[in-house]
Amino acid sequence: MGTRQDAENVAHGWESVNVYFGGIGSMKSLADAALKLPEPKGNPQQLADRANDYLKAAPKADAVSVDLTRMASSSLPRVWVGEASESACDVITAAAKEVDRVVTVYGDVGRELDVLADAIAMAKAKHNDGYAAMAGVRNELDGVSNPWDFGHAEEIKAKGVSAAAMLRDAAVIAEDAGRKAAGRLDDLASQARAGKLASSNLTSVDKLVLTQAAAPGGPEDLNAILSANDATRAGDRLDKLSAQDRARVDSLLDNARSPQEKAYLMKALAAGHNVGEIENFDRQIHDHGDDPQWLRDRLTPIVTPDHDTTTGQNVPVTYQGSGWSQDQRPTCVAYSTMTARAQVDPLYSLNLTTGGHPGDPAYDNPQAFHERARVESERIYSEGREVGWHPFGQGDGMNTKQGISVANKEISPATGGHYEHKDLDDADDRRNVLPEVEHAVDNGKPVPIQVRGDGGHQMMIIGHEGDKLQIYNPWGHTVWVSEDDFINGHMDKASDSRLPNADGVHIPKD
Amino acid sequence: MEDAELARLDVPALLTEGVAARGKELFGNGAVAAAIILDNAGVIPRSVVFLAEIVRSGGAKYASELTEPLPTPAQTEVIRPWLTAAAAASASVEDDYTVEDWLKAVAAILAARRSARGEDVPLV
Repeated sequence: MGTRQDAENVAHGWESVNVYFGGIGSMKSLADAALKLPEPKGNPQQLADRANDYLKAAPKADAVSVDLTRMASSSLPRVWVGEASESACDVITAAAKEVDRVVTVYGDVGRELDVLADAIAMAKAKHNDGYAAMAGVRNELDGVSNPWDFGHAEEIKAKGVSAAAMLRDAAVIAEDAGRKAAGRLDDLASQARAGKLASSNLTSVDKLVLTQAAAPGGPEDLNAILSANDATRAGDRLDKLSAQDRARVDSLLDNARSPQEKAYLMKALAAGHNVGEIENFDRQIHDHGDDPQWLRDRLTPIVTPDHDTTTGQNVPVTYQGSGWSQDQRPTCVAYSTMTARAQVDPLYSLNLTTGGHPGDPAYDNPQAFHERARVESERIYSEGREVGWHPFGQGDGMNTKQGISVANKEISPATGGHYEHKDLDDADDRRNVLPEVEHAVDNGKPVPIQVRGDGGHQMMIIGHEGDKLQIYNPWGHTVWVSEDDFINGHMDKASDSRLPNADGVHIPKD
Repeated sequence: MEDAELARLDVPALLTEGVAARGKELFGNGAVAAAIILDNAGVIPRSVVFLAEIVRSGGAKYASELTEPLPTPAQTEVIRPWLTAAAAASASVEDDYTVEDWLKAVAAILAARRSARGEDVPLV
């Protein structure tokens, strides 16, 4: 149990003491428990010193910020011309913004630590006062000679209640202050996005420019294209690319027309897309790469307009000035989740806003977007009445060869993955396909398997251990079979005697 | 194991233990258990695949903070503890991809269950 809960329990115990029934004994126990409550942790002086360090550092950084801003707005050395000059401007501007942010953050951290130091000092003082009062109560209890003097017992109880309340308040103040400071400092730490982009494949300048790029329409620090989470994920993925893929990404970044275009490319990487998909994405946005508003309209649905954090105040989610959720249909939940996905995946957002045809007025307009969003929300969350698909049969799951062949074509879109169907005509086919089946299952990808005999049925291979396969039969059970069962027509062990033969599998593809 | 027994498995505990190790129990009985529970809550495979794709793009923690990861409050109530456990167990982008793969495995098993009943399996 936590210190705060312990302190609250003790305080409640004191308030509940019945002085007419075992009161002295109860109060002795409660006083002992109260005196064991630990003093709030933390050293207020150290915290105050650290706060002072941050507050003193902020003005120094501010002077650097002023110099950099001046440099960015004045002419650059003559040796930097053309694209080099533009890049240099980007870098200096990014550096100025970063230092400016440092000034703000240092100031905020200093003030937060100051507040925390004060709170901890107050909590400790209250705890010490409460402890001293409780020690006095304990002594007084030891000196009680007449347990029937209920008037005296009431006096002691009142003192105990007061002392316990002080100890409880101390614990509450310390915990509240700690929690608030932790949340605020965590928030401030997340603003250090350049540090999150921990790739060894990027220079410090790259990191600075990428993490400073912001969508227009609000304060830059609240609308960075790469969030701290994006920066971490992008850096991780960048470091795991092959040299060849890395070169392709470098080429895209080198040719980008603005820091914003670069940041969206990195965001696409963070979202888990492969390099080919990112190249295709860049082909679609590159012509507008120097137009931050165009990019923002199609790739960043949520822009925070100001620092106002008033609760309950709606911030519009827009595309070209038109809201993402047009009306209060039952699909409003889908819209919120679609928006959340679009906010972390610029390829998804681009497809939704432009239908894959950016710049084409027939597709890239608010009305067409709304229609796509409606279809998408129904695609994600509605029962598929428009498709009416019955691939694996009816009733008990038995069906015909014809039904299975439909399944062969349709299984891929049903699960969102890519599969390759393999017919298994004989034992050799089954033996040969086993390594692929086991590789897929070992990588967490269930393998649909069709069994035949007198009818047909679909099951899933979900596990592999040694020479055994674990099968899930949708009739309602899991069961292990041997590789020999799979190869030699004993799959009835997983269903029934009508269905002995493995007739086909769908191999998941990466 | 029978469906009734599978549905009683502690899915959050399996995620806690299985994400970092890409555990076989998580992807075997655990995925079936999750599919049965979601099926009973009326969840369709596409909703689970969509959620898996959000996990891929933003991570398990990001997905665990979605207001409505699944369409109805009852469905969200079912999956919220799983996402919370997955987020706590996921310490890297690779772990997030494990969670993504697991959700897609759950969706595939869910699709197989619906098909076996002769119900529509919505196209993605």
